[in-house]
Amino acid sequence: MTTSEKFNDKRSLLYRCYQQQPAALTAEIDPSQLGLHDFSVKLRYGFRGPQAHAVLSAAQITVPSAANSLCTTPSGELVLRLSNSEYWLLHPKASGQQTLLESQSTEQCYSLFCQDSHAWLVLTGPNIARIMAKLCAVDLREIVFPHGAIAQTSVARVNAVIAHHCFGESAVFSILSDSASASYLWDAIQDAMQEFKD
Amino acid sequence: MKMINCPLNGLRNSSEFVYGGEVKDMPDHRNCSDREWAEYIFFHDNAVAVVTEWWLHAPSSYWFIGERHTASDEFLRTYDPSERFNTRVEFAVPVVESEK
Repeated sequence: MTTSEKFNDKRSLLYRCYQQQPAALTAEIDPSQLGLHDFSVKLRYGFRGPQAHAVLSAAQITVPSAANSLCTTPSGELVLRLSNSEYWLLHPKASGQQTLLESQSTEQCYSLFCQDSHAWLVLTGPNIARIMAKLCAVDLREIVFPHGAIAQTSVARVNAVIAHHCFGESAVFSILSDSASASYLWDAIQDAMQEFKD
Repeated sequence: MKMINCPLNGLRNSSEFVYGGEVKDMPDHRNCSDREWAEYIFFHDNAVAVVTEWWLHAPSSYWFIGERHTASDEFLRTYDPSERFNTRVEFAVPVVESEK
């Protein structure tokens, strides 16, 4: 797994956190271990509008059938459906810009630049639902929040999208939150994780 | 904490929601009087009754309509705006002075 510092062409939205925690920069990602990882430099983009579904279908991208759910493409990309006409695509293994955005933006289907507007954190490990219970009012236990589910809610008083999906063999939470408060949320989740370390 | 049933996201704490004012029919902004426009923008009935209001679920930026009793503060029903706004509204072209 490539960690954030390998993408030298981009600076993470969380670069200030790395100044305080240099170890986080070089940490290898083991999804089975408790950890919070910064995916902010990874590629993500979105579409919204009445024709968004048609644009994605034309690009051979399968989309979830209901709002607040996600599906995974064979190449490992995550397709999030956040409302009846809004889709976000997350690429855990890629960085850089993508070209589908420019070519497909119309009045009926316009681009969402969530690469710049939202930070992407990934919470991994065995107690992620219990950690999030300290920060978030929505019940995120596996029995009520299964793989493929999305919750758009408040996490530590910051608006966030929480996506439950698999990363390798392990279930993880992807947390997409406003870029301006990314450093705060990073610290808030790290603080909640302390109880479950060791 | 009070809960509000968002049509998109389900039951959520009321702290996640933002009030957006009463749902009113928009007057023809090109031809209406200043008073009519002010009524639409600034004035509210403020009645003790079941009122129809705009609400925003802030984490998902989703606007919906809620029917709420202003005395008991209970939501009787929430629904997607497409139930009410399902056709495009066209306003008449403004009357130009020179054409009179």
